[in-house]
Amino acid sequence: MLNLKRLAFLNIATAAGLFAGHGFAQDKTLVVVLPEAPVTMEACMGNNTVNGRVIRINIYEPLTVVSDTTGQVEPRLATSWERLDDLTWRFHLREGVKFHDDAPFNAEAVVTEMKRTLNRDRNCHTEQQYFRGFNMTPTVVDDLTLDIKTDVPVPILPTFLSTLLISSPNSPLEEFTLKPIGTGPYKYDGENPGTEIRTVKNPDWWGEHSNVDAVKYIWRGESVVRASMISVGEADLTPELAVQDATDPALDKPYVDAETLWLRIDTEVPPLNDIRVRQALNYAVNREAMLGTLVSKDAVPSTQITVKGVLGHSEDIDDEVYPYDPEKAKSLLAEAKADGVPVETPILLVGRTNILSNSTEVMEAIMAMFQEVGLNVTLRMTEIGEWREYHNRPYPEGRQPVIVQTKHDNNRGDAAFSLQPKYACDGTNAAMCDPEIDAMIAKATAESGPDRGKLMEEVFAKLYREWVPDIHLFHMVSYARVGNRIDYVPNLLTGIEVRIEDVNFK
Amino acid sequence: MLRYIGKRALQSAVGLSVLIIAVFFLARLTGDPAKLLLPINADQALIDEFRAREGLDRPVIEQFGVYVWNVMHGDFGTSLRRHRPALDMVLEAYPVTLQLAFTAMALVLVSASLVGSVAAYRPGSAVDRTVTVSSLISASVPDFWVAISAILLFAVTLQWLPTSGYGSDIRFWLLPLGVLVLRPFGMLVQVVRASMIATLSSAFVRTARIKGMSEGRIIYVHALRNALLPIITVAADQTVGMINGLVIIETIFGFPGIGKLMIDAVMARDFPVVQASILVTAIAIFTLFILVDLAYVALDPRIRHR
Repeated sequence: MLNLKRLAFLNIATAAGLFAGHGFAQDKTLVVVLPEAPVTMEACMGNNTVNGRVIRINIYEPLTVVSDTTGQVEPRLATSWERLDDLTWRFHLREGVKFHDDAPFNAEAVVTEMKRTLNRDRNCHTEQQYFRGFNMTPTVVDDLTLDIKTDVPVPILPTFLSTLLISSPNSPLEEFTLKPIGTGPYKYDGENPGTEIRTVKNPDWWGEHSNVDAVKYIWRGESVVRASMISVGEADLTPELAVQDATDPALDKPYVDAETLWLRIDTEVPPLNDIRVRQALNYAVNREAMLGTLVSKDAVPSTQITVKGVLGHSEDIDDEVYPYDPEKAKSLLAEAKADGVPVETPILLVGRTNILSNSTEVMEAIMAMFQEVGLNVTLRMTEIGEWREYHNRPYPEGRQPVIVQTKHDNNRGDAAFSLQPKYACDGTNAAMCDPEIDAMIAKATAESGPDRGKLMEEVFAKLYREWVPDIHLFHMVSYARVGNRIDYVPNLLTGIEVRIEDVNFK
Repeated sequence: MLRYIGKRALQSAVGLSVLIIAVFFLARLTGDPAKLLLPINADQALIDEFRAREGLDRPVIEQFGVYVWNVMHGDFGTSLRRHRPALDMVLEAYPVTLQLAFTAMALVLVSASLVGSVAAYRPGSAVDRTVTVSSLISASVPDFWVAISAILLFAVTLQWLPTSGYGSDIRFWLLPLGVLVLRPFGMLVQVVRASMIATLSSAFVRTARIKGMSEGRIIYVHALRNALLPIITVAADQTVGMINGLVIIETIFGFPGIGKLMIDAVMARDFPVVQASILVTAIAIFTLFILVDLAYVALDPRIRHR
């Protein structure tokens, strides 16, 4: 027994002796509590939400940024750009910019970063997600001028370059960096592994700082814990709360975060290849009943997969949400059946767990709505790996008709990032193929003039009114909790980045 | 003694080998990591490229051979998700888990021994019934619910303690430890109580009383020592089972330990981290069981003589 007591004492003493340092929020040190720790601090992974909220814009900057209000491309490390010919763009770089390690920012540094990010052996998400469709050849014209030639016309190259975060040329060329060095308003100031990451104001930054001197990033997986931390003053800001924890109207700020929830119909398999069946599915869904019950009351019933503010979003169809009309749905199905469409065929409804809070409940409700109008629908909830089998091409031959729950997040400001993968014949996630739509998408995405947005709007309108390849549900909202010490207004981009330059202490 | 330890170590090595094989092959049955780790729009060409780069396109047997060879050379692989050596990540997280688990278990052992002994002293009394009901509640209540409720009560409403966090201030440890000890405390109180009731009715206890020994000395020195074997057995089992509670504690309170690391790795199919964390955890558990066996020997001379 004495030995046990001694052991207990030693354990407690050892634990106390090994405790690491910790501090509460200090003046002008902003404490941001995130849902998850960054996976890596590497620039070429900076467009992933969990990493981007720490490093994107704050530590690493791109040449261009997309406006959260207009969707237009704006200068950042490049001050201007012009298209020299169909294949060549010229970028003029900002003068007098230094990296946090005092290396100069110039055209050579951009070329070095392009080599790092585009090196396929490094397994960079930025390269995989944005730079697979074309090849780029950079040429240094002078210290602050860079030409980029592409192998095919890329009319929105400046938009694509908003995803290329520039790190110091001294960063490792092969392995992922552990100490991020960029040009941004805040520089990396160390971390306690697994606990916190610290950044401090970069006094040499070219822009105008907010009054935040330093930032401490911490993470808690539970939404209610994050909410509590803001309430009691342990942290100042969390960009993401579950709807059930957003209970304090004084602190909680809802924001449209570019995410849209929808169901993609496999239009290539009967009976879903009949437009009347697809329309019936849309009439069968009671969207209003889900608002404030299964999804946030602030969510907006949708008619397309991009939100307002993204270039190409069609405001013309915003008000054309399918009303809940089960009788109309039944009549369309009866009409299709009379024409020999096999409407009794079993349809598989595929949901994805954790795609949103109440994901399963939303899908169960929708299944019941489809069954109510007479469709033979069963639900299968899947985790992401299995879900991708249904969501991404190639789909198996002789497959059952499938409707897949999905979510789209276009925060790049241009609908080209949505139209091609979702609706083109060779789109990775498309379950339709129409040469006319294909031609419209190709024309719209190749356009670099003022008609670009209008042409993409026309594609969305035609899809919605004449093709009906989806059951659109909601433009989702997220909630940020903003503490009493600071001013911050969350915006469309808060989902992927929290710009500290937009945060001010009162 | 050394021969005994060598024998137990050899048995553990066999168990460890079986575990390595099982974890390696079972992990691969969960699916393809490319489908979780690549961007959502990744096409088949990109998935094939990823699999080739990470060696996942080779026959599983060949992958296993490479894995075993590398582990024998101290290379546990690189995290598919974080691009860092898997063993570094595990060893960073391990000290936190060890501090938490062993501090919690020490508290449980001491408090459960005291409370269980008091309950066993007069079976059926009001104290005994109160202890029994409380320990059953303690063993049954969900950790997750208790953790959130404790945060709302002690951190948000009363503001006595911080909501969460990991650091040198002892206040960071009170809520996590309080939640973590609940379940094993409840279980162990029951075991101590049952074991002590049996011991207190033994002839040697009656003899001690006849000799005029104080009740405290009888209970906590003589009887408890004799009742310790089942207690240690269950305590060791509870320590192993604590890994489940640690996942919840680490997630809710922001402790950077092995439980959270392991679950995140499983969810992301980050095979190298799954394998490294399970292997290191298994080594710790096998070591714990050897220590428990040695404790039996130290506590009970009959085992030593067998």
